[in-house]
Parts: sequence; C-alpha cells; structure tokens
Amino acid sequence: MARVDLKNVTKDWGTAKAIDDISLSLENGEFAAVLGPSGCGKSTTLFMLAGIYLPTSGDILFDGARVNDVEARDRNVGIVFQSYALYPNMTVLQNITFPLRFKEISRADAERSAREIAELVEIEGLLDRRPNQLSGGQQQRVALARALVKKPNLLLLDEPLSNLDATLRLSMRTEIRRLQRELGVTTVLVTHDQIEAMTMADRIVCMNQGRIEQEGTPEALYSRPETVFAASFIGSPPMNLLAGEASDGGIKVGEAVLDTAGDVPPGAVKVGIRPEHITVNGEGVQAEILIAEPLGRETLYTARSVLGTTRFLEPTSVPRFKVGDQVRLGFEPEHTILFDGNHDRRLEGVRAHV
Amino acid sequence: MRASSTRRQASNFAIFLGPALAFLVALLVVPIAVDLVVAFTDMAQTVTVDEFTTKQFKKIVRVSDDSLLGFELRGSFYRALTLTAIFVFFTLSIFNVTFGLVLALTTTALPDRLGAFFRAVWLLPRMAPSVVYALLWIWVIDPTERGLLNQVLVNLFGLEPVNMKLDHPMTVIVLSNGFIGASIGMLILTSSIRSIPQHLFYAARADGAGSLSIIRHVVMPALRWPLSYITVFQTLALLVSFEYIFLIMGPSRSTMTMAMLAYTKTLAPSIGSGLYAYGAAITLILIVIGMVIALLLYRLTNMKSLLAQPRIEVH
Amino acid sequence: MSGEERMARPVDQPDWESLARRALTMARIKRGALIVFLTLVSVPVLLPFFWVVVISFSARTGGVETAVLWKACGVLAPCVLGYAATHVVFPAPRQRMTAALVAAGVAVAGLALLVGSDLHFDNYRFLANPNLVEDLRGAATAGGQFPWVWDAFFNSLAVAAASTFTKVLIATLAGYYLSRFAFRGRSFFLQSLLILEVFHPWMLTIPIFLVIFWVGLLNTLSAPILVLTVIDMPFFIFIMKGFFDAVPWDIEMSAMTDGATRRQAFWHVVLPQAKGGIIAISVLGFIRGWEEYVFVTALRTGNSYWVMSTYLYYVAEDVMGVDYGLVAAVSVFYMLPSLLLYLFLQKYLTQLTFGGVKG
Repeated sequence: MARVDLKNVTKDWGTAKAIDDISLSLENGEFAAVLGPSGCGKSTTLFMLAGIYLPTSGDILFDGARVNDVEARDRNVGIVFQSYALYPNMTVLQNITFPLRFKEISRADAERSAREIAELVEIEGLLDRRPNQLSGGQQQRVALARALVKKPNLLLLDEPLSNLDATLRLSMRTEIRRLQRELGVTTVLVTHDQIEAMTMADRIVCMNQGRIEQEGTPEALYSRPETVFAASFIGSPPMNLLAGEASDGGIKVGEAVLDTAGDVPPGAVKVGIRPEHITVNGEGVQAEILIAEPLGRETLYTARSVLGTTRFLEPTSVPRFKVGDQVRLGFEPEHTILFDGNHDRRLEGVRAHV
Repeated sequence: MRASSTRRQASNFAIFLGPALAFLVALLVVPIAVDLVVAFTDMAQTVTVDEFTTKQFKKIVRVSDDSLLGFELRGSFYRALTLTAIFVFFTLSIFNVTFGLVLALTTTALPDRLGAFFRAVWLLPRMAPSVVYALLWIWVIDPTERGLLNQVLVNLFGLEPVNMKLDHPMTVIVLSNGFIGASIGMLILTSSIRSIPQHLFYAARADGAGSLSIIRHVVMPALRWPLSYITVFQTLALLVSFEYIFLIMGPSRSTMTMAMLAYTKTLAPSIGSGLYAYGAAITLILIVIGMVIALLLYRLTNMKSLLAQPRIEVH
Repeated sequence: MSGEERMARPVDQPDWESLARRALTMARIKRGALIVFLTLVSVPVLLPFFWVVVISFSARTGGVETAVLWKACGVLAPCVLGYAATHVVFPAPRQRMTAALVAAGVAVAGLALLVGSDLHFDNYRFLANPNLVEDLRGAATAGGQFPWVWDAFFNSLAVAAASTFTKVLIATLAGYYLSRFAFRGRSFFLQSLLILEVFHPWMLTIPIFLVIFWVGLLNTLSAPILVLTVIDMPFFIFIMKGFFDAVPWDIEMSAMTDGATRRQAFWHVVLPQAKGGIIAISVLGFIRGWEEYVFVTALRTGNSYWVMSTYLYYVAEDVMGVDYGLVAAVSVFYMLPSLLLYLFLQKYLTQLTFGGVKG
C-alpha cells in the first residue's frame, strides 16, 4: 500500500498537451476517482501512474520516492482495463497467477493465493475456463483478481464498468468498493460516469482538458462546485446555469432581475441552481411547462420563463403538470451558486434569489 | 418486378465476378486440366500428340519387386526430390519462419520509424527485379577476387577466396531465396503483432513481465496461426519456385530441384529441350502436392469469417 | 547495497532508486543491442545494392573499381554509427536532428573528397545510344537484333501497367461482390478460390505455355500480360474482400436508403474506403509485372519482343558480360522504378492483412 503523489506533471504527445501541470496526492488506502469527459487526460494520468507512459516533466512519487524511471513491471501496480485485457491463450487460473510468475513465489503458493483471491471475487468455479467462455461480468472479475493477486501498492481501474449492462454495473460498484475497503489498497478509478465516481470514491478529482478543475469529497463537489465546468459536469440532470449581468441593482437575467446577498462584483455572472432546489408555485416568476419527463421516482420538467429555459425536478412519479401549464418557479438564496461570467470560477460569499 | 430483379442479379454477377471467373478458368483451371491430359502423352518439341502413354512416369519411377512400395524412383528424379527437400527445409526453417519472426519481433520492439527503416531494407531484395537480384548474387559470389564475398573474406578476414557456386551450391540457393522469404514472413508477422490489442501489452507489463516473458506469453500465442500459414504457404512457394535458382545457378546439376527439372526440360530459354509431356508429368506431381497443401490451408482458414453472409439482400 | 541500508528500509519497501537506475540502463542496453543486431544483419542485404550503384558510377573500361566501394563505405559507416550512437544517448529530437545533419554533412564532404574524382556518367550512355552493340563491338557483329533500351523500357511499362490495371480492376470487382452480395454458390466459389490460391502459375508454366500456344498468342506481348494478370489473382481477391469486409454495413445501408443503387453505393461510398487496399495491390502488381522474367521468356520462341528483364539478362550474359560498369548501370536503371514506387508507397504495403487466416 502506498501514498502516491503527482507533482507538476505534464505530458505532451508531440506538440499536443495531454496533461497540463497537474499535482495530486493520494493518501494510503484512499479511493480516488478521476472524473472527466473523454479526451480530458484521465486515462493518460492513469497510465503514467502505472509506468506505461512517461511524464514529459514533473515527478511521480510512491511513498515520497521518485519513480518516474521505474518500469511498470517493478512498480507493483494492478490495473483493470476497460477491455479487461485478459490473456486469451490462458485459463482463468493461469491469468490470475500470471503476475506471480515474476515474483519469487513457489507454484503452489501462487496457486493458493490465486484461489483465495478468486474466492474473494466469487469466480472460484470458473478457474479452468478460457476468457472467451466468460460473460462480460465474469471477465471483469477475473481482471480484478489478476490485478489484486500480487497485493499491489496501487490499484488502477480504467473505466472498468463501462462495458457492463446497467444491473451488473450496480452490483459491481458495490463489489469493488467492498474489496477495496477489505484490502485497504490505494485505488484510482478513471471514469466519465459521475454516478460511478460519486458512489464509489472517497474523493473525486474532476478533470477537463488536461487540467484538474476541482478535487474534493463527492458532497463538496456536488454542493460547492468551484468552476462552471464542475457544476455542469457533476449532477444529473445538470445544474441550471443562468447567464446574467450583475450591477448595483441586482443581477439581470433575461428580462428578470434577481436580488443579491453579499457584494456581487459588477459584470457578467452565471447563477447556478440545481433542478431539485427550484420551488414550484411559491414565490417566483411565471413559467410555462415545455416538456414533462417521468424518470420513475420523480419527474423532470423543462420550463420557459423570463429567466430563460430552466429544468426542475418534482418528487412525484406521475407528472403533476402537463405541457402548456403555467407555474411559478422560485429558489432560495442558500441554494444558489454564483460564478464569475468571465473566468467561470465560483464567487465566494454571494447568493441570489428571485 | 421479379424478372427485373433476376436480370439485375445476373448482370451484377457478370459484371463483378465474370472477369475474374474467365481469367481463373482460362489460365488456372484449364491448364490444370491440360496438364492432367498431357502428362499421359508423348508430347515433345512438335507439340503434337501421337499416343497416350504412361511412359513419362516410367522416366520417374521404375517397377521394382524388391522395394517396399513395388516401385523405386529413378536416379535423376530421386536426386531432384532430395535436393528439393533440402532446399525447402533449410530455406523455410532458417529464413522464411525463424528469421522472419526475428525480424518482426526486433523491428516492432524499436520506435516506429527505425523499425520501418530496417523492414524497408529487408524488403529491398523482394522489391528489386529478379534479374537484378540474381545478378547481384552472381557478382557477390564471383569466384575470382573481384567477388564482393571474396573481397571481404580475403581483405577483412585474411581467408582464402571461395568458389560458392562450385563448392556450396545449395548454400547459395538457400541464402538467395531465404533473403526474399524472410521479408514475407516479416511482413505477415509484423502485421499480426500490430493487431494484438495494446492493452494486453500494458497489462503484461504491469503484471511484472519483462520483454522475453511478453514475447512468450502475449506475442507468440497470437502468432500461432500466422506462423502455420507462413509454413504451409511458403513450403509450396519454395517447392514450385525456380526463377532465382535458374537465374543464379543456370542449369547446374548441383541445384536441379523438381521445379527446375521440369523447367529446364521444357521451356528454359536457349536450353529448354521441349519435353512437354515429361515436364507435365513432374508438374502433375507438384499439383498433387499442391492439393495436399490446399487441404492444410483449409484448416488454417477462418471459414466462419470468410463465408460470413452478406447483410444486404437486394441486388 | 550494504547491510546497513538494507536494515534501514522496511522489508516490503522496494528500493525505488536502484530500480529506476536499472530500468534506464536496461532500456538503453536493449535498444542498443537491437540496433546493433539489425544493422549487422542488414549490411549483407544493403552492401550489394550499394556496390552495384557504386560500380555503375565509377567503373571504367570494363574493370570493377572496388577501391571506390571500400572508400565510400569507410566514409559512410562511421557517419551512420556516429549518428546511431547519438540517437541512443540523446533522447531530445533537436539533438538528434543536429546529429543527423552533422553526420550527413560529414558523409557528403568525405565522399566528395575521397571518391568524387572517380565518379562519372559514362556507363549510362546506353540511355542515349540506340545502337549499343555496334558501338561496343563494331557494326557487323550483332546483326541489328539488340534493341534500344527505351524499347524494352516501354514494353516493360506496358506489360506491368496493363497487367496491373486488369488485375486490380478484376480483383476489386470480385472482392466486393464476394464480400457484399449473397448469391447461390458463393461459399463454393470462395472455397474453390482458396484452393486456386495454391496453384501459382509458376507451377503451371508448361500447360499455360500449351494453352497460349493453342490460342495463337505465342510471341505477342499480350501473352505475358494475360498470365501476369492471373498471378496472385486469388490472393488479391482475398485481400480486397478483406478490405471490403472491414467497411461497415451501415454506411452502405444508409447510402441505399438515401436513394443509391447498390452499384452507386459501391462506387461512391464503399470503394473510397478500400483505397488503401487498391493502392497496395497496385504496387505489388506493378512490381511483379515490371520484374517478370519467366513468362516473358517462356511465351516467346525467338526474340519477338524485349522487356527490361530480358534486356538486362542479355546485356549481362551474352553481349557485354565483361563490361561491369555498363551492366551495373543497366541494373540501376532497371531497379529505379520499382524502388521509387516501393519507397513512396511502402506504408500501404505494411497495412496489408493476409487473407482469412485465423487470428
């Protein structure tokens, strides 16, 4: 188990910058999720931790020691790939014992550890099969066993759930989390799925275009996003972002003017408010329902008002309103987040309300 | 509606497949049939047939009560068979398979450009016209001190000049065909190595495997079928090839393989003696070997993907 | 590592520093060894080609000027080795660029200094002289049989171009039809093609000669063109089928729902996707036709037509076997088109996958 640090790491592919000066620390035993859209550099970061890609500049530290030049085979890192990357010519057992071939472990001991780990991920009945005889979920468990069998310093998961169907994904999420707790291994999960990141990780690192947008606990990222990108990427349905112009008299959004609490600097701002925090038929502005989408447990509405197009959630499984209905929409100041419209960063200590 | 669809189907067949069919039948299927007939005639220089006979095969085998199968091979053919076997075995095992594999493994382990450079060098013999390539060999192994090989041996290593053509004729044809054969193995295997998913290499490295272990556990299993394919196909190619042997060695008895025998007895420029029926008989033996190879090839082919049904039904 | 250091570190803590050092050294040794190995095995391949070029530019009055070759090698080898060494030691592209420029500069300067005065174009006079044999041996000897090199050149060009065009056209059409159309007998045809792939025309030289003789095409240029068209044809059909198999069905289906017929969909949508395959088999086909020797000699009875291969063979064997400079110059001239084509289009050749083998 190890403490892992990235210090001012950059990675260029020719002239293109894949990773632009990121620094990050992972505590021993921590479960961190790197979250971002495709092409944001999250897999590149993972492969640099594994020793497969070399950073262009900056340092990677394991327990404080620089490991930039240490080969992947010596880093004692376990990886689970999106494609699972099981060796097609080997049985499940051979796949799992493969990492132990390169350690000074007797064949019998290797097999014993493999069986133990197989039991842990519940594939002990499949050990003689070949990868092409397994379902996606089973392959995924084999890949996990292979990554864990050598008791890695660091476990790296590269979109491990994206090839599974929805039910299986749900159970594997809990499964992986349970294993990680049990083994206490420092883990980095790379994903573009914010629900996966929120439910599994102790800490989320939100990346965009090769930079870290924000890192913190799932709650912090959800309730206090630091940038417009983090605000819009995390949360489903996404946060409403109302573009406006701040002045002494409040914030002018469309044809409406919002009251402010605190000193909002004059200029362009964005007012963020999550769909579940919009109040219906209390104090507020007149709006017309455009779309009503039942999501099962709740209903998502899209409405048009003087504020522009807004989404809000209602906790009823049968829609209360239908298209064309008139409602009043409002929100409380404590639920709003204001962003500087030019730099897209959060403004501290200021709120807005209708 | 129905009729027009049938008509279109027929015209599509004629346009797309017709020309291929015509060429393949006229210049591969018909010649095979012709060979089957001519092998049992007495056709010679005049290209006329006087009688149907099995005498061509009597030039190849002789009835003998002493031997196990009831017949034995005649001297010249026995010699040709032995030389063919030696030539095919050594060229194939040393160059087409082993050295092709070594080139593929080493060039793919280097950065792309550098690897491509070395592959390009090794494809040179294949890309140069055969007469030029043969000429280079003749000059390199020239028995006088002008030959490049002798210059190296004498000046660099202080050895005596050698006469390769006279003293090591089989080495010459193995090397000259091998330099070309290795490049074909190299090309096929390089593209097979490239098609191994990159993640498999990453996984093996993270699992602690070194370069040799990766070759053993990740690369070699993926090369099983391509290697069999090369072995089977190149066996045949070497079996029937005579161009380089003829151009370098001429009609020398020391390198008279089966294909060379058939060629020199019939069509070789200025020395071919026009014994067409005899050549056809040897060709027939090669055709039979070819059929066996075809069956092996059958087993190596992924019939499921080869025969996968098209997904658009209209024509 | 001393005993004390070992004690100072917890048992399960790896020594990252020495691991990193080892990795760096190993990587350098491995790459160096690979380059040295490949260079050594490549020298026997490259040297004869280099030699023939050197001879063609340096040989005078028939003799072989070997000193020039070794001088040239003496200049080039250290330059290449020096560059290779810097390439291994310095990773930065800029440093490597500088090293390459320096090496190239030294090579050019060295060559100009040492062998520059020995080089001449005299051996290439065959390009401008229509009557080479008379020039060499006096008017009476050759009987006017031997052609100008350009006659052979254009014959070779015609043979290579015509056979390549026909073969590529046929293989593309057939490959597409076999990949995309359902018809009765499709699997029979594919399996027969697999068997035919085995029967190289080399094997069938004699019966092919008889067929050509019977249809009366002996001693015409169309005979080798027809036979060359069939060489490798099953193989090319499989290559093209492979390329068409890789084109997604969706785009063809969408072309058809957009109103195209299947032939239009083939021409406008599918064919452009298989461009790489067409270029690759064209290069292979052309190089094949350009070098052809066996069938051009087997399918003529006298000297009814000349192509480059028979021209060179004749130059080397019969007419001027002792004039090494001239023979080398003809060889270089003959090689040039193949090599240029290969050099510029080689990336298409390495993309080829080979027909239907299990993966």
